[in-house]
Amino acid sequence: MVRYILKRMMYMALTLFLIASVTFFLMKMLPGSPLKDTDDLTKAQEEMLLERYGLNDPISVQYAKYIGALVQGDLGTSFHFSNTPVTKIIKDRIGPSMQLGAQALVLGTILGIGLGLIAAVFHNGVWDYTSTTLAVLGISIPSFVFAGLLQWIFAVNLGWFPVALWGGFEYSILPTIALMIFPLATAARFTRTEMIEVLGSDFILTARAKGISEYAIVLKHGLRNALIPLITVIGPMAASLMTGTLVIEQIFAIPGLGEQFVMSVMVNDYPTIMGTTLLLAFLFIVIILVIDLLYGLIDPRIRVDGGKSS
Amino acid sequence: MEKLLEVKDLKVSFNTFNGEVQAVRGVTFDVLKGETLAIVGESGSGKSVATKSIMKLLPFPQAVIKNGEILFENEDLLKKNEKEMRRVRGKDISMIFQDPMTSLNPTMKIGNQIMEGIIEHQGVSKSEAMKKAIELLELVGIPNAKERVHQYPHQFSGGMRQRVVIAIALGCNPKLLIADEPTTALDVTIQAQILELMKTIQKKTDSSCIFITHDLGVVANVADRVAVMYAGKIVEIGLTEEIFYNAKHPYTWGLLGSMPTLDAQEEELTTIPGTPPDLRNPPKGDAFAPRNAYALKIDAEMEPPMFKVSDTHYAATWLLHENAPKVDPPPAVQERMKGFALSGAPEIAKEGEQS
Amino acid sequence: MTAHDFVFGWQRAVDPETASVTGLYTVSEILENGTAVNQGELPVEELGVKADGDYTFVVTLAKPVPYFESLLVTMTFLPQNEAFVTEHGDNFATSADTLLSNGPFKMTEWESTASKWVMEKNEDYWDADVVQIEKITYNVVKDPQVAADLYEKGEIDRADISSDLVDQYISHDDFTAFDENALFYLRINQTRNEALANENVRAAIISAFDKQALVDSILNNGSKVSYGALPDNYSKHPETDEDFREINGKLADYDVEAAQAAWAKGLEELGTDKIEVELLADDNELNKQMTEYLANQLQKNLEGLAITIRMVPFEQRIELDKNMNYDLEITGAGASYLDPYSWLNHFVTDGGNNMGYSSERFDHLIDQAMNDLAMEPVKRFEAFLEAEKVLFEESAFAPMYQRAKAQLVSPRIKDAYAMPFAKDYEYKWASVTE
Repeated sequence: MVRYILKRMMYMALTLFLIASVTFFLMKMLPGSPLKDTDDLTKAQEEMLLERYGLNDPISVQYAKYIGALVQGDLGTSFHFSNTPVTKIIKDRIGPSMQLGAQALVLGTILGIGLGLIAAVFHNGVWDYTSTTLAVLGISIPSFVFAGLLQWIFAVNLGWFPVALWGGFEYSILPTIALMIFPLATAARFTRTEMIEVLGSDFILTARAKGISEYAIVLKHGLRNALIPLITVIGPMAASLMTGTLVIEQIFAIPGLGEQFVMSVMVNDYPTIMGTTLLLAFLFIVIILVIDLLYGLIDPRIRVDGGKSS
Repeated sequence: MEKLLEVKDLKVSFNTFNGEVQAVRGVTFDVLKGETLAIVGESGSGKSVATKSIMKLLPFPQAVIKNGEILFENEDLLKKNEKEMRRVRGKDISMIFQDPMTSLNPTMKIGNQIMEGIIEHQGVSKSEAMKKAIELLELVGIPNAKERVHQYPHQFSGGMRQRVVIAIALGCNPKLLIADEPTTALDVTIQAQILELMKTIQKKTDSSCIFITHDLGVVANVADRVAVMYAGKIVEIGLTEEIFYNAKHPYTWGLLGSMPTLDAQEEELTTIPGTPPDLRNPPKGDAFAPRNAYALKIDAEMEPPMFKVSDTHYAATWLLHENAPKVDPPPAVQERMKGFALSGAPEIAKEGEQS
Repeated sequence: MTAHDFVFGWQRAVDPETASVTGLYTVSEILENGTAVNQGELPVEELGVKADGDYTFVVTLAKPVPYFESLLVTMTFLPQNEAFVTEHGDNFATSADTLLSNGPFKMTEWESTASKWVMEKNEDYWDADVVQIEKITYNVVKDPQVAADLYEKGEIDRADISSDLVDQYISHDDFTAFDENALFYLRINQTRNEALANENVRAAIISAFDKQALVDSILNNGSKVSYGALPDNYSKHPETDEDFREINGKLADYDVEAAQAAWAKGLEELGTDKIEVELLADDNELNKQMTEYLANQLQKNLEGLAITIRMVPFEQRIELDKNMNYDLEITGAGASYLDPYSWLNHFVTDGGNNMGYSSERFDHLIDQAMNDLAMEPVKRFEAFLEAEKVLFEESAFAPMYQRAKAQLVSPRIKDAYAMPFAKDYEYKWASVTE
């Protein structure tokens, strides 16, 4: 197990290195310069600033410096916010995004599993068709549409929730709902399909023949087996959450990492763009590792170190 | 001997997209206490459906029990609701299935799978149930039961898994064990072991057993009585010797004839030509008639009733009518029957007898 | 606070090490030795500022500056506390803790990355008794609709209304619009497209689109037509007190006939009957309509003119502008201090107009106004009037409109004044009624 984790970490480092490099070169290809108000700068001042930010060095030197700093955990200094290290920017902004992401993932997955379960157990009934339709809508309609709708109906018109901004817990409710629709729909569809398949298995028949309650059959025997493949879907769900926050934070004026990221791109704040991208990539890779390990934990047939099979 | 189970005129159909399939078209049989009844037939004969009906394990709402009574200890199981049935399943009647590779929950330790039924029906504590589970594993011949009780199904071979399945079924000492082709998916040597095991256990516990198989060799090994099913009906039923020495129905002849034996003279095995009928539209006469070399004209018009051959032996063929021509089984079959009678057959087990 | 704080502050603004963007043209040119210090030729101590005791601040100007007083309230001229600034070094003014205030309010709760900040009454302010507001909270909200929604819910007291929302809220009780000191115009680049180097072609373009219609239908938020390089009510004649704009009147207006006549001449001079031109603008909702309208009008009125529209993100437009990589460009300008020079300074040759516009006449007039005539307010003012006229005789650029700011403002706020330059609002005398 330990060897496996170490091996994976090596791959993770390699992947991050690749991502850092690709992001670096992509950034360099974008038009525009990070120097604001360049209208009013003299040539001399411009030179000074370019020098200061190391933008005059040849690309290879800039690249080497960047990777060097990265290895030490230094994400550089923002071009936009004077003298602010990117790590600080990320630290300041990451709270709301993490909270929203976690809430949406957990709530969405749990509710989704519940919905899918009901649909599978009452297969081909009214419940099934309703929840399937809802799930399809949830997957197809972009989150910003939901966000706008929720905001309009529940905040502006009914006044049950704050319209926007970030404060106490109630500010996170509408954004979380908007953000969790995709994970919920995905989990629901997935659970339904897997459950229906599992419920037709032989071992379910064996279980029924034992005379145990329907609850035990569906939940203990059925769900446990159906959920194993669901873990794989957590990866793409996490990805969708990360991109989803970009939009949701704009709409609800939430001071999160997503909103910051968009702004950084607009103003060509290279270090912040790269730092945030790397962070998100890192998070994603870690999630994948966790998923793989979870698989091993939950499905006894898959033990990452080989396991014992006779 | 007392009757443990009485199945009377059971009719079961399935509602499919293509229409109503009559899987079981009027089946009647009994199971006595302590005996093993084998139900033999090809795929689609309705043997699985009939036995699953006893436990009401059919997929509802597609399956419809159209008629019949199933009396278990004098109570009609068909009249019980789901909750009542659950008290019967796993406790009074147990069932084991064909494919041990898929019959067990892959994510649950086998110990728990055994304990589940025991705890449910007997309300004992977990440690009590664990003790019982280990005992059962030893009973079915799993070595190192104490460690293996904590393992998962994928850590057992096919034969071992089937033993575990049997252990699960025996958890609450059921009065009736229904085994649906339990050895079909195993290789021959393991097959023999499992059959041996089942016989031993049955003697120990004095339970009854319905053994479904398509393999006559197995039947000879374990059964006290045999029922032969074709196209949803029982075509012949009798004591095992009666069926092997003195079968009366042409279908049974066909089955016997197609059994490979070591002392057979012919080079080719006889086969029964044709295929079973489409049960969406069962024929009005004898369903076997189209494939029956000995079919009489009446077979196409009317279904034959059960004719009595002895108190324990019945066959549903017009050939037994007093006006029917006398027909002997084909030579290959006759040889086999003689062979059985002479050499004591491939281990026909009788009560109390060791082989 | 002492005079030393001013000395330090101004020195810092001029110091080339600081690389202050605004220091260059506001402070450096004005103070004695300012330019020299800024170029690094003289040490900072030689700058014409000194403290005479703790409470007297002496400034020596490089030349007479009539608008000096208005400069004093702009950002670059504010005092800075040397000890504090040195202590925080590069972190100075990056958060509420690293910022000192000697005004009516002090900043609490602010980090550079925050989207919310708070100002609270500064009890140490010399005039603290006058200040009635205890706390002002700002929220950054990118989406104008959300801001409007927040206002409707009473969660904020003032929201800016973007032009696409004006129609929706214009009938709202709390809707107001006031003139901003922001002029929007079409820059005409003479260096890239040969046709635009021709004065007649430029003259044609300047008069060929209906500005009133533009302001009425597309903007519809109280903005008004701009007829020159200065807005209304900005600068007054030192003697007669007449408004600059009124005196010079409409130097650039919609006149189809004149436009077409100039166009015909221009075409002849260029020896062609077709001219292709690219119109550059920031990529936003408003400009989508604006550029379409302009293209439509110009192409309709000037036969043979073909316009391609190019919309890019703000940063990119600035870059293209700097590199003079455009033909026509929609851009805006504002004033930094109370003087016509603020509006006219970058049309000087190499003054950063990025149009390739260079006029000896203009340069001369401006030079005179800023130097020789510095002590003669009337002549100076007249020089500026003349200079603006030159701009349009030579068809330098096409004025479009003066922007009005549309807002929803809560009636419970009293006496909060919008400022013409230097800062957006003054809350010193503001109060809130319940």
